[in-house]
Amino acid sequence: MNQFKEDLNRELQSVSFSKEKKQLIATKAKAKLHSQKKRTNRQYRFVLTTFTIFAIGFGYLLWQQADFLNSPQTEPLDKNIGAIQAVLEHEFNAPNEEVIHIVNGLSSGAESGPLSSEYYSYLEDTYGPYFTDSGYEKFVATGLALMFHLEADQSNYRINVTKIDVEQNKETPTNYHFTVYINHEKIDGAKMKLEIPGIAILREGKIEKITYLIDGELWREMKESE
Amino acid sequence: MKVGELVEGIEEIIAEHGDYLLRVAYLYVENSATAEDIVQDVFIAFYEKRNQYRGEASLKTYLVKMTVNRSHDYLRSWKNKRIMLFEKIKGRSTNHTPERAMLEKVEKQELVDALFTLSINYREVLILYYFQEITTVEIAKLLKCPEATVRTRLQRARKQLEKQIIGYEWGELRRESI
Repeated sequence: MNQFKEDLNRELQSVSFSKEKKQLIATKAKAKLHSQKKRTNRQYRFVLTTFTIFAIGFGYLLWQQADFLNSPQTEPLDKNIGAIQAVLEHEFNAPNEEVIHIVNGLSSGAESGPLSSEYYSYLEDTYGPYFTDSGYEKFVATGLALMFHLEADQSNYRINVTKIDVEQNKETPTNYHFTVYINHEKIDGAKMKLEIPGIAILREGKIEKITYLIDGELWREMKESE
Repeated sequence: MKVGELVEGIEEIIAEHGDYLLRVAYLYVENSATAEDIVQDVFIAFYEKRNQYRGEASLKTYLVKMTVNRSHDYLRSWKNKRIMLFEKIKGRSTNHTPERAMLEKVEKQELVDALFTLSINYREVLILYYFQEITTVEIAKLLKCPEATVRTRLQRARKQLEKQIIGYEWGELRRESI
């Protein structure tokens, strides 16, 4: 050891830590490290939670946006087609015993009695959800409503739907062309398959007008059993 | 000591190097309480960032460098400048504590007192060269100044000290001479 160092160490002998002070420093160092670890863990959890929230939020926004972009094209289209299909399925699965029962009640002269209200309730419940107000009025007033049920009942045949094709008109998007594929079974057991074409005009998911393109031959085929 | 052992060995490190670092810090800041605070900060910082110690230098040298840097920070701080200003106005040093007065009675602190008459630049090179026993090259790196500057300061510091303590025996440093 050089003289300078030796002299300084001798003169500074009293400059030293007590045992307690050394222990205190060690304890402080450990405590600080522990708190730092806890802080780091908290920061990690905070970052992870924030990231997760952002990821979920971002995913939700993307999903919403995709939904928004898709909805103007698919949702009304599906609703329009759904309305057409529902009405056609009801019309061409005939005759319906409930319908015949209600209509027979009308025939017995109770147009303004309880049976009459049952009739209008049935029409309202059956077609109301799928037609616009004016469309419903026309459909009922022109006798198109329940027409195939009454025809099938009177002509002694049964028809049931096997398939319905609905296609939107590209030039006039409110118009939908449809074809109803039906099995036709006469009372004597003769069976045939028929296709009923038609056009429906839609307004905001509801039918404004429905037209069956049934020519005389087709109509005759349906009623042949008479 | 291996780095991996440091986690468990902070008490041993403090026991081994604590007093020495305290003296280094004291020689810089001339105040034992401040020196204690500095050394405490050094050990806490070292323990927090112990993985950064690669074992390239000895642990003692590593800790001394931390102590020197923190002592510089303190000497540059507003807190220290405020205290120095206060001492100038009052005309006495806050270093003259009752504790210090007692020590002076018990021990003769001729060399320490002489060192404190030197400016920090000269005092520092003497501390590092003779007390820490590191080379002028290493001192230059530590202080971020040319080695020639270190050598010049060392020569002047010795001369100034010799004025304070006439005929001081420096002893031999085996590694090199200035």
